[in-house]
Amino acid sequence: MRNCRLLIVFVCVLSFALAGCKREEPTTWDSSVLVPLAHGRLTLDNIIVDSLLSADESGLWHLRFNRDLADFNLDSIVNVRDTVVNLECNLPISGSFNPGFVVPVDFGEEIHLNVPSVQLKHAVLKSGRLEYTLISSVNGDLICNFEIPGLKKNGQPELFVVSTNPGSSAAPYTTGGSIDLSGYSLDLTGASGTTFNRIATNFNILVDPLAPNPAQVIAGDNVIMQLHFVHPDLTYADGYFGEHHYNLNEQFEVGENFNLPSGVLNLDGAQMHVDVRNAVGIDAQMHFTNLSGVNASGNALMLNHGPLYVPLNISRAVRSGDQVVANTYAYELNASNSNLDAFMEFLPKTLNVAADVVLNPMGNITDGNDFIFTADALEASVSLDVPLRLGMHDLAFADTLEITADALEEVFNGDLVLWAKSDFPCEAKCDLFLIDGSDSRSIVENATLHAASLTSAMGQTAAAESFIHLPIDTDIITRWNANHRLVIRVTLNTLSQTDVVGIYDHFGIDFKLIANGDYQIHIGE
Amino acid sequence: MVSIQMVHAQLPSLLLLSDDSLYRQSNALVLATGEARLGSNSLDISFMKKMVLGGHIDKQQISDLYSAMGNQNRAGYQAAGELSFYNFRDTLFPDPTWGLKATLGTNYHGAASFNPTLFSTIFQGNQSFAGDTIDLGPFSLQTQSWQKFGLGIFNKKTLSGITLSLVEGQSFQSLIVQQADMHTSNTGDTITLAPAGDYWRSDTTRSGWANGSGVGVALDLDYNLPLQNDMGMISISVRDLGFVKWNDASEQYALNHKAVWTGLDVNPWLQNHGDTLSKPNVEDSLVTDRRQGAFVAPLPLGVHLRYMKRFGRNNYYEAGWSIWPNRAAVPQVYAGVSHSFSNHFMMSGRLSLGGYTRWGLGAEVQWMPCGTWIVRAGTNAIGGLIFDAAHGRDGYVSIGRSF
Repeated sequence: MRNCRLLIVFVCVLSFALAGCKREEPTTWDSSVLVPLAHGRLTLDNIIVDSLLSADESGLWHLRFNRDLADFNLDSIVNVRDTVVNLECNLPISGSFNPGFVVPVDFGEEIHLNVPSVQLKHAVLKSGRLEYTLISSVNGDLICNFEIPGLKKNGQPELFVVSTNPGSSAAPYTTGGSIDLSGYSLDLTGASGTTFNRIATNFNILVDPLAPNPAQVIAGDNVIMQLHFVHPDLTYADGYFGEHHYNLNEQFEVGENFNLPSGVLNLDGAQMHVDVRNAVGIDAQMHFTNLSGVNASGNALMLNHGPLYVPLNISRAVRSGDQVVANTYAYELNASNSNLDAFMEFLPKTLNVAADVVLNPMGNITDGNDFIFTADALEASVSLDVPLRLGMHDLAFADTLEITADALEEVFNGDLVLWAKSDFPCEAKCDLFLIDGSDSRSIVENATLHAASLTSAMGQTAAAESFIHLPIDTDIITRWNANHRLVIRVTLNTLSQTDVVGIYDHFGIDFKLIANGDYQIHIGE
Repeated sequence: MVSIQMVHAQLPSLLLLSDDSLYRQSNALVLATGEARLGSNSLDISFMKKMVLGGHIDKQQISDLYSAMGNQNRAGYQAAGELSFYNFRDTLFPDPTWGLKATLGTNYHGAASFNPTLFSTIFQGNQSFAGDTIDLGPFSLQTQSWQKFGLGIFNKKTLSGITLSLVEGQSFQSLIVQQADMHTSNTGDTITLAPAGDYWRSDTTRSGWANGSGVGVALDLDYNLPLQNDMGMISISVRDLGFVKWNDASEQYALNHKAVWTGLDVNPWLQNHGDTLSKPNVEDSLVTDRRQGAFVAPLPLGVHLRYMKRFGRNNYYEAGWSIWPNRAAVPQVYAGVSHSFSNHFMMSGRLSLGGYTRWGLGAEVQWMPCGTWIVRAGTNAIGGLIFDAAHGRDGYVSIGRSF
């Protein structure tokens, strides 16, 4: 018995010993590493949005900015509102009518479209729906043919053939349906062909030839066609559109796709085009009253170019069939005829545009022959071309990045070494710091990326090498993981503020990022 | 009826030396054995424990280990568990001398041979090698696990026998690098690795015991020769003389291509903002010749010799050696003394030298409670159980019973 107890104790001790052999944490050690992490070549088109940048035949980068100054929204002039009409067809005689009998009717209705302030003659619809409801108080099976000669698709007038069952005044028979108006054309000259905003209709009724019984008609019975134009949207219209006055007052963010810098910038050769294009069969007059910029400090500067502020009479476009010949007007601004260079060096953050516009200033001088294709109407746009030939003095770009990446699990104490070889003929000083409210921790200050030296006027440079050491420690990693924000500030300087240098598409910065420090290796997690 | 359980490469000597042969009169003996060893001639227990069980290895410890290393170093582990059934009834031919034996066992083995430069590069980093070319080779790392299902015959008197086993290969890896030049540039912008070697591995889509990754055969031999007048014995054991044919999904890589690491190429990401930045596959860069297909690999063989001779009434001295013919281990020799307190209880002490470790002072207890049980527990390195600075730790246990 004693031996058995000893045996049990032995087995228990062995079990405990084995149970202790279990991994409970990762194996870690600090290794002094010197390891390349990344390499690449940074060019200007990696930094600036592709649509803003293009190189000319010499390879010189141009910053190009295009923007519609105003959306005159002329299709709203010819906007057809939702319209409901009830077309009543009265039956003037009483009697019992056999199947196949054509019932005499009293009908002479037109559809009046709800189009305020314009007199439309013709239109083409790009979307919308026509809902119809037919209500019959006649005690008999009828076939109702409702035709809209002015509503056509592929040249064919729209005809609604509706069968009814017997109804009464107290309990009329009701049926309905709808059609898609996309691609339909409208003749809005009415039954006479000389009016506007009206569509002619026809209505005839016969007793269903297959009806089992004659229709019992009492004088005063009626059949009502109820029509509902739902969200009709035009792609073309003609007629007289009336006289309209607009006041434009628009504001644009110039630096919508990149952060505009602060500092002193010297530009050379900037050009701006302001274009007005009229593809509508309406005369117009446009008078720019303000084109100014506001910089990051809140200061405003007006763009000076005399001709731009003179009222511009814009002739109507000419139409031949479906072909439209638009009239265009252009203003070209440069350093010699405006203050454009100064305006751009002012680094406007927002652009303000104000103008007065009058449509049909002389009234209905074409006897109702205004026209519009809504997809191509009246527009004004500005295009800016800034050749990147510049001089910079403390031109500072700054950005604040929210750190939303997954937490860094790595433990590293040492330097991240950035080796860079730059072709750019400008010096860059870089500050990096992490902030959380008023708490700030600098990662690097005044790290300098040296300027390449110019070897020819055509943009040949001798690249300059720089080493930037970014000290990383556990405090920085902790702050990074604690959702601090990363602030990057880069200050650019050319050798001379007044002598401009070109930035060419072959310029770039070759870089290598190297880790040099103690990295904690984890295994078995 | 007798039942037993046991551990260690060779049979418990008490079974062979005890005057009490009651267990031989029983119908059967069931013996369970378990053994685990971990050792190195250069790494200490503290280091190996942290590598296996987790924990932070500080710089000073790594530096101390590195400074004490020789030109070529070794480390290894072995773990095994086996259940054996000895049938003492006269069921074979019928022959009163020979009995049938069945075994079921699982085995794990790993061994590494490395130079101090490789150790330093992994655990101290490459910073101090900036501007230099270093040779990380020769280096070998082999791991293998397998299960055995054996049938054999044994001599009822001496327990000598032979067992033929069907082997189910569980996993196999072999990395043998003859030379591996690594260059770190002065600025650290380029790391170049030029290895020359091979990497073989078994089917990685399978896991667990007897998963079908490989199949083979193994022979285990025990020859126990009692000395005249019960003066002692000589034992020779051969373990795992055999091979495994690993299946068609196994892979063989030739590491013969120079790989140059300059960091992630971020140009695709710079040019296509929003694209993911994928890490280059270093393995693909290193390997130029990959072949998938079956191959045959030997099992890690072990050969053990033991000589025990009585002196005085109840004492024995003992000497022996073991060899594991692989790239890491060196032959192990040992000597020791045993004292038999009774027919049922013996204690031993041993001093061993070699194997995966340096040297070890061992102790063993063998006990036969009631004459029907056999319990053996021991270690070849008492220091490894006590001191973290020791270079090996092992233990073995056997529990058996006769019925």
